[in-house]
Amino acid sequence: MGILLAFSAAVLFAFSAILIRLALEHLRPTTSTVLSLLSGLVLVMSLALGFHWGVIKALSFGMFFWFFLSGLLNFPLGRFMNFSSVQRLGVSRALPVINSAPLFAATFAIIFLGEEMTAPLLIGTIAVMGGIILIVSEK
Amino acid sequence: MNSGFPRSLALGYLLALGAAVSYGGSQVVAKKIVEDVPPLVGAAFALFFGTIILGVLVARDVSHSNPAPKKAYFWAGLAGLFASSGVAAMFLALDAAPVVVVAPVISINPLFAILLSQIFIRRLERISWRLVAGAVMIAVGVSVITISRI
Repeated sequence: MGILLAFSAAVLFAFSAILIRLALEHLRPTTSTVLSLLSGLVLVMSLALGFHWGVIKALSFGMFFWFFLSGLLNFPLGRFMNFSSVQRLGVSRALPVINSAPLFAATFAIIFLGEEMTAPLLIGTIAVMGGIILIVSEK
Repeated sequence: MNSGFPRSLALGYLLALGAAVSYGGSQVVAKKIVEDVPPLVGAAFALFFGTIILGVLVARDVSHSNPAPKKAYFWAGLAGLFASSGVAAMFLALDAAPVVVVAPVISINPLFAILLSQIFIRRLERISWRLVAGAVMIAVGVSVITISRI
């Protein structure tokens, strides 16, 4: 069941990228980002309110700083640059590069959370960098 | 900039890397959030603040944009629903199976996107063996990195 759900997530992300490519033929990245955020917000907030109302009522004020930071990094920065790159490069070129995010997450975790550089992390980093170089060097 | 590498492409790759850095940073913040609240609550409020911040920043730009076909607005809204459903499916997957299983499956989504682009938007997307090989290498590397951090 877990694999099926993970597979569904991968397909949903891929379809989302294709749909935004179609939208970006006519709309600016700013408009596309706002529309995609609004529709996503309705869905996710409804689910959160439905399943976790008790948790939401008890949220501490301090948590909102982290929500704000997460929202800022993910959407005005992350998704807007994501859509802008898809508009310039197309889905096939932009999406693999954008999906190298775990490499940067690991780098930040090493710098800010004190995690250690390990052999698998190094191997993964080399693979990601090699993949990015292959894509970027493609004419 | 080298004349053999158009400025628009270079900017596109910089934006893609910028998005990856932002998403990478957000994953570190998300790790802090899910220590205290369910992931769905974290995602909902991050979306809430993200929508407000972006809405304020680009309200003028959005309100002055040229009219577009209705289907374009529909595609953009549907893309948001698909992306959010993907996040929900990912959380459910993580609840049902270990990260070591879920992460590699999810990391192949660019390969699905390349496949789907050849089915649905072939006129807009050109692919090559180098592009597919690069996407495979990134998917493998991301899986190794994710699994190594469990």
